[in-house]
Amino acid sequence: MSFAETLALVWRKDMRIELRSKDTLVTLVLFALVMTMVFTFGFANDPQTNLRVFPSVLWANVLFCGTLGVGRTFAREARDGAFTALILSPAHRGAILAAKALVNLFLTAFVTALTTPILAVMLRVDLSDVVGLISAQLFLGAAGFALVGTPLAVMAVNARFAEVLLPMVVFPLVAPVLIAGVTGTASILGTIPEQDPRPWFQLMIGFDLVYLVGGQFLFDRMVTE
Amino acid sequence: MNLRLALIALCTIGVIAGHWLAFDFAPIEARMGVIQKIFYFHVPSAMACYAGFIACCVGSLAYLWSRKGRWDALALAGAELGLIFGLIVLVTGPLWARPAWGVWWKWEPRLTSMALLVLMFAAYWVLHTFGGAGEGVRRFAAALAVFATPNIYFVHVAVEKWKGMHPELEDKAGSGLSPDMRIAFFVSMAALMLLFALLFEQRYRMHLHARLVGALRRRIHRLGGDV
Amino acid sequence: MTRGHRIAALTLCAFGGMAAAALAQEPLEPVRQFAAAEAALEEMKYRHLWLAYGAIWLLLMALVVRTAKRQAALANDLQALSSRVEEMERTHD
Repeated sequence: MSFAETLALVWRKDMRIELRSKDTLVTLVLFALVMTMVFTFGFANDPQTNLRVFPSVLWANVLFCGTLGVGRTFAREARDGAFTALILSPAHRGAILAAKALVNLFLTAFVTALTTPILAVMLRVDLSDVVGLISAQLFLGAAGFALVGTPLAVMAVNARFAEVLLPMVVFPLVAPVLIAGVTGTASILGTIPEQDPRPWFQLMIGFDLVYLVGGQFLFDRMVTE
Repeated sequence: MNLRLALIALCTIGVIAGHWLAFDFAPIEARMGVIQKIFYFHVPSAMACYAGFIACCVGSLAYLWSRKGRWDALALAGAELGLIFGLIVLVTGPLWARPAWGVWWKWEPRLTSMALLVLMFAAYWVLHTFGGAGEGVRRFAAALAVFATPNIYFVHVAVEKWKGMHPELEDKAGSGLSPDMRIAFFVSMAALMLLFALLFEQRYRMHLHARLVGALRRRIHRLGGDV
Repeated sequence: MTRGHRIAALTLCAFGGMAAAALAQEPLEPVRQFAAAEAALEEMKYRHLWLAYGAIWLLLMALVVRTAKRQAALANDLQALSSRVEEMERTHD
């Protein structure tokens, strides 16, 4: 089977299971909503302050939901003992990784798309004329999370204390994406002197590309036989 | 004569000489005063920290490719030494910064990059030590170390661009060194790098022996005995 | 002296006295403040220097001691296990 066929197959399988059972989706959406509420309680009703903290709140939301979603990547395979079968199969491992990363990207992007408008409304931030740029940023950020987090999610299959270790491992690695995201969003919203978001987009695209290629090379070596 | 003992003796002499040179021989710096003397061990510690993390990255790559346990032991030893010296850097830095800048910490490119670097390899170490004994975990940790290494570049770029809009803080190394200071600095650097090498070799041998003990225990178990 | 002259003389003496008191005060206060602030800073610098070097050596000594202990335990284990494996291999064959 070719790379594309394997990718399509694993993607379809995971999406079908996910959309039928909806367990990860619903959990993530509820968690994101809870986080949104918590952040709204934490900040006073001053529109200036809200505008300044909005980027941080937005990306903190992405961080928590992204990490939570990533931890569930191989959960089903691990639970049913299918992980070994997946790895031993002649399917291209890079394609399996790419498909899982796409699923994670979809989940994170979906949850973020749902909760960002709610966050904007609750914090009374007007995003109407920057929707395109913010969406592009969130998409690139979610991609960065997926590309870094999905290979690392293999840890949850083997290691002890994976629930605690995975965030500890993922957080420092996605730091560039977070910095680029928060500063980029702030520059789009005009709350910082530098108004040009292009360098931040470049950084995120570069990061995504490096981990797209690097992940493909390393995933093969990472999984045990 | 035993090479290790000779090197340990040389290292001890070097460290004592480095201290004396730093405290007595080198002049007190005009602008910062006596607190500048932290520099004689702070900067070499940073070099040792980088050396440790590079060793970890090289060992991890070699382990992923060859699957030989000694590379994993090398990587772990590198990470541990890198973390110890990184911790030294992150403790002595604020101790210098408080009298010199007035604050314990600033979100400056070098400080933020260093803190994140130490966090990444701390994650590697925690995973390796507490994640379980299987080969899978070790291989995963090695991949993590390799993942972390290009990230250092991204973090540095991101933080520099981020802080680029704010006024630059003065370089910690200050202006050029006088000849006396230069001697003290190079002796301290040599002594600390030798110390790093000796500790690294010691930790590496310890991890190798630990793996040997594990292998022997498995052998006994296979032969039918109990461990 | 007439009454006017006496009043004028007393007023001048009063002003002169206040001026003298003011001049006598001024240089003393700021110098003491600067000296106190600088002395505190110098003391902090020395204290932090010793703390920094103390921290370096404490961390390194802790590492050396821990490694030495673990190495000794491992050497013991290694010897005991090797001899046991040899023995088991002899009886096994």
